[in-house]
Amino acid sequence: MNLSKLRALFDPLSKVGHTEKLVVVEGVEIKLKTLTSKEEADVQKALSSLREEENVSTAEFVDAFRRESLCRAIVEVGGERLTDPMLETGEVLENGVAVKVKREEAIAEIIKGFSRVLVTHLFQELALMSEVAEKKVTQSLPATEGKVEEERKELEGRLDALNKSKEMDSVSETTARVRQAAYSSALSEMG
Amino acid sequence: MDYYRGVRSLIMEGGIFRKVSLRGKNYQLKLKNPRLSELDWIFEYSPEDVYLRECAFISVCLYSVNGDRVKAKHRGDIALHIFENFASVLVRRLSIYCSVLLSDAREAHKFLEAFSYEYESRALWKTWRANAELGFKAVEQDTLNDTQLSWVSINQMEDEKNKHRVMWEQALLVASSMNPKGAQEVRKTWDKNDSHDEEYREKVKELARKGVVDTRSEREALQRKKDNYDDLREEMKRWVAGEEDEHDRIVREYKEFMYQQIEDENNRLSEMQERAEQYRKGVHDLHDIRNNQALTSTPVRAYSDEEINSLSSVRVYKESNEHQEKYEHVKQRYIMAKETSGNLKLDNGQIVPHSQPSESLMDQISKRVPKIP
Repeated sequence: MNLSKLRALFDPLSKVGHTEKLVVVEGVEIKLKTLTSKEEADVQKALSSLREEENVSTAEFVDAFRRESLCRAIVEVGGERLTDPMLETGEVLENGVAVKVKREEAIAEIIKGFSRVLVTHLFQELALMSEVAEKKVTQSLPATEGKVEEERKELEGRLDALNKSKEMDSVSETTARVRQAAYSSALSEMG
Repeated sequence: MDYYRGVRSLIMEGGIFRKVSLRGKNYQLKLKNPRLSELDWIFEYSPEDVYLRECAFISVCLYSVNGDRVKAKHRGDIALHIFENFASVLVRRLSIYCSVLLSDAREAHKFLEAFSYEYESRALWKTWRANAELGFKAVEQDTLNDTQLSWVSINQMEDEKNKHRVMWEQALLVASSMNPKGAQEVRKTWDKNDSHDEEYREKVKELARKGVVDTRSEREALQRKKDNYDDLREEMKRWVAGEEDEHDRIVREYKEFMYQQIEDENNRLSEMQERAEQYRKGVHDLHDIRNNQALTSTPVRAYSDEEINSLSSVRVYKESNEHQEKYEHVKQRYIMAKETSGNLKLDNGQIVPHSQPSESLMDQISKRVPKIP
């Protein structure tokens, strides 16, 4: 048995749990997809360096988490499919070779310029898609009756995810309030 | 409820299985609880990357796809090249199934001791041995799992104990013919020990049939958990440092539990080994009792043929003919008997006794003549 035979054996499973959704923001069509396990692991790896830094605030950490997730989830913009793992920057080296960056890095740089509200909105869409994907997986792989332990673990996982999402939302709200208050006082000071 | 179902599956089937079917599609994955060596492989495969470790964990649990067995040599490829394209929710779901299999195996293993004391277990062991003697494989596995290894060791030790027991009984029989008292004393001590052992086994079985197991390691773990702040702190540190995720923790705890269980079983086996040794020693002691003239209450002596004849009780049987005896009795009593008048007669219309009434006791006493001894 070789790798392609193995892939063929697992092919029906590799299709389970993937969903895509078209989100239109200000007339721009953005297609999001749910992350693979490898991509989720990459998000965690990208965040691990940030976690070690001492001066990173919670809000910055949450922003980075959303950005790293979205840059892997966006697969289509304005009808253009982003299938190529490397994107040309438009620059050309002296030897004529086009400069390329990783697709995720390129999109992450673009997202950095988005407003927090837009990023939060896109991320919420992604979170909703994950919920839909989870339901699809549950439908495709029905749990065996009497497996209380499995159900318990699934619910625990779900609760954990919801708690994390709630924490992130609360951080965003706090940041928004702080900034709004700061802006308000600054504006009032300015007269 | 059959609490032995899990341990029976671990021994007879080689593991605890979980079938995962895709609804509406002719597709089925079969997962199996991994062995300790396979769990070690996970950490060798990916010492640093938690994500790869999770994939490796699922890949060691993969048993077959649509009945096609997944070979151990392909596990690395599956973990690295196939799971990376799976949806994260699916990988999470599969890893939940695998971790539940681990906890099922852990629960099932707790019943091993009780199961090995059951008649069913010994009968199964005899089937295994018969298969092995005829050159057939008892189970379709390349290597035995951890529970099977422990079960085999327990049964081998039980066989050895039984073998020594037979030798011991034979020696005791010989010794009892020479020195019945000494042999009886020895037997009493051993019977007492045996009955304690039997009582313990019965109790373990009785509790297990109700789903209660109280293993030594669990008791110790409970004792340790009560006030062990260091363990909790260590766990917290590992979690914060991102050194292990939920599944790593489950795997680590499972491995710790299994190693502890194996240690417990080794201790139990040592105890059984010691007992077998004592039996072996007992056989020698019985030889000593038999041979040692000083210890014998009735020294061995040689008898002549005459003495043996005199000692042997030759019984003389009385010849009888029951039919003839009964016939004679009836003949004498009813056929040949002479007719006699009764004891009563009519006297002036009154029925009176034929003979004179016998003397009363008082009359007899009054007629007694005193004698000086």
